[in-house]
Amino acid sequence: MKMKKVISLGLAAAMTVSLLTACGQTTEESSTSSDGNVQIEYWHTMSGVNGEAMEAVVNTFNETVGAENGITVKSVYQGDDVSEKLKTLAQANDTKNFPNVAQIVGAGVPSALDYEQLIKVEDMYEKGENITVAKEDLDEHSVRAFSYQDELICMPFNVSSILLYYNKDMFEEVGLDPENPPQTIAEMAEACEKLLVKDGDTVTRYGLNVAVRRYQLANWIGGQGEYNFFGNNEGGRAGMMTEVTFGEDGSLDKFLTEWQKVVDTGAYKEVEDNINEEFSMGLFGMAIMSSARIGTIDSLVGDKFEWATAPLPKVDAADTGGTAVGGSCLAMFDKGDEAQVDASWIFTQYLASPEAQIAFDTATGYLPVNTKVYDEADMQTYMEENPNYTVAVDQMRNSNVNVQEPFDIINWELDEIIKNNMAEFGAGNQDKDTTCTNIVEQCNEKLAEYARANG
Amino acid sequence: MEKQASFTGRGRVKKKKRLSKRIEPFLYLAPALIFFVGFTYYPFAKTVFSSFFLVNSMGEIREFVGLENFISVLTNPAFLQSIKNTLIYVVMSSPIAIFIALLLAMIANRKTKLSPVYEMLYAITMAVSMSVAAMIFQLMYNPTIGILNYIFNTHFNWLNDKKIAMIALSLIAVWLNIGYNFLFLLSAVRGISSDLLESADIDGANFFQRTFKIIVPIISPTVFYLICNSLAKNMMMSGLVLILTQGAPQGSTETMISFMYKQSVNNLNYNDGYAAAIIAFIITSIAMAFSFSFEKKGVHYN
Repeated sequence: MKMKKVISLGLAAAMTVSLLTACGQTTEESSTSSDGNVQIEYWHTMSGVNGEAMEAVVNTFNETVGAENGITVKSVYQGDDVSEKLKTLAQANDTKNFPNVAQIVGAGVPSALDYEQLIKVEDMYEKGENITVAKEDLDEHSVRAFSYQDELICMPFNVSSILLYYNKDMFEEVGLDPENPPQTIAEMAEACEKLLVKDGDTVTRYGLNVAVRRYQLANWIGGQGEYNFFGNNEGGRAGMMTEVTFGEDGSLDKFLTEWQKVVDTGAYKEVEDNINEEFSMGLFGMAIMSSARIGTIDSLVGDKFEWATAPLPKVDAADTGGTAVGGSCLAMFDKGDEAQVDASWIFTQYLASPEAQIAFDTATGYLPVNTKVYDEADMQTYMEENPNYTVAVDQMRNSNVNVQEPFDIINWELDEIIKNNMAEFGAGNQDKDTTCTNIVEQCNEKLAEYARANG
Repeated sequence: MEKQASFTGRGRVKKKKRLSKRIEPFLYLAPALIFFVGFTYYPFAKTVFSSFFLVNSMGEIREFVGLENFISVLTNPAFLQSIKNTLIYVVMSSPIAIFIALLLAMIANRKTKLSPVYEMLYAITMAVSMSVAAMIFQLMYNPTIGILNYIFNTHFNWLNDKKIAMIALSLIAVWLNIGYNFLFLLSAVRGISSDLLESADIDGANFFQRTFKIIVPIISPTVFYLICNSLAKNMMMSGLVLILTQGAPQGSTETMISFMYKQSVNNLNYNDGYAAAIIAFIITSIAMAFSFSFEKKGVHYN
């Protein structure tokens, strides 16, 4: 009896202890693995087909460049909230559990700047050791996208461009020229009108589907004129963005005036439910989406109909700005081990090298961040075989480098403000002027709140 | 001398025993207490403390601002709407889930050879995790390719129409909670002595009298427990929102906790986050107090 009690107490104690230690476990792994290689950890956000391509690139690195330099990279899929996880680590100052390299979205760059563990890519270039990818070879649009105060913070890796997707068969059916997609929002409105099919009062086929959110608006604001900033301090790239400037410079009003034409057709679906599937089911003739979806649309549509991509329709036919670079970059972190930093640097550059870029981009449809890629025969054939992809490449390369998504830090909050107001405007529940004032005032209020707590 | 020595010796043994006896309950409490203090009481105290300060995006305290954070969220239409949404959600999902579970428990009351089968069928939603249920319902709710619109031949945009999105979320919660409620209510209904029901039958009570005069009063402690439980759970709901709608369309599905989560985690705004958390706590406490007042009137323990 007594024995039993002792044993059960002992077991309970052991379990409690193991629980506690499991919580507090720190990764005490040494930086070298059993084969003498330097081991580094890489966090990424890619799943599905993209995830497979990511793993393949990391494996190739481990077998080639990594093996030559004595580096083993352990890649970890972390879901799409890598930025949130890094922030938690930074707040707890838990350097040990930081990854060596992490893939983060562009909007996460300004927050990452605050982490003392971050190593700026610019500093690595300045140090000048082990350089395998020259900074000059990197695409200037991508460089600007991930730079703050003219310093490259994170290495560009997978980028995309916003495009107009349109159903060529449907264009032909209603008498639109499938080889001449709309170039401006006004032309898009005209196309919408023709594509509309109604059964009594209910719309059975829309002309266009897109929910205008921060991402879309940043492109339409940014592309106006030669280029146009979203907020002050060059949209947050020269200093903290504390207010939006699209109100006072009239660019939001200009966009909304054009957008009104689309809304007025009654052929505009202002909420996105399942835009990929619905486009491939022919529920609307046009959609505006990132070029990263070309592969998905391709497999969904199959042989059902002919479709193509076109550059994003402009606000004004005279605009020359182009579009912003969307996508992710690689952040490097210092965990206090020199050998790991060197290894991370070699790995980070490898991911931006022509070799890795071709392998990854042709498998996923992301756009190259290294201009040397275009000299390679593999990429040239890929672009010839995939004209939809080439549209995105050309659009990015012809854009002004200053056209970028803002570094607004509270991107989620601004996204919600823009999304809600644009949905009300798109549904005809809110007029143009109210929408314009609301977006400007609400964005500025939130930005001021952030600046007050963090300025 | 000897006597005295043995006396004190015995006394020490007694004392020792008493001490170990006195410590024993605390040893049993300790594991739970350690976790409560570490993961509930300490964060709670810290949240209350921090809510009176201006906090930056790294969670560092900047300056004392008094009640400013509370005023800021309470004048924020988005948060006020989230309070309203939460209450609507609770009112829609808590009673219905209990009512349906009660009906099922009455149906399943009589024990037959097959009863384990339908008992399991009714209770199985308990074993479905919320996030899995959310993904299943997301497909069912899809306006173009979802099964619900197909079966009922409707054109509802379940999760993207501000008039029905919250109802759509409540439906999932009802479905999820039925299993749990059913288990409790079934054992309560089965616990009623058959003598009581038989004598009621002999006295000529009809079905409704039997249900509302005898069964419901007897199982009222269980119902009360379920009400408290689902109130607390539903007041704190955020998972369905964060997985399915992120508060959209137009903030019509934002709950107090999803607002808190988004402000602190996505927008790095701990000022709103702390204040929202405390207001949510206070509102939930009031709701609990309200349901306890019902206990005095409606719950029969004998």
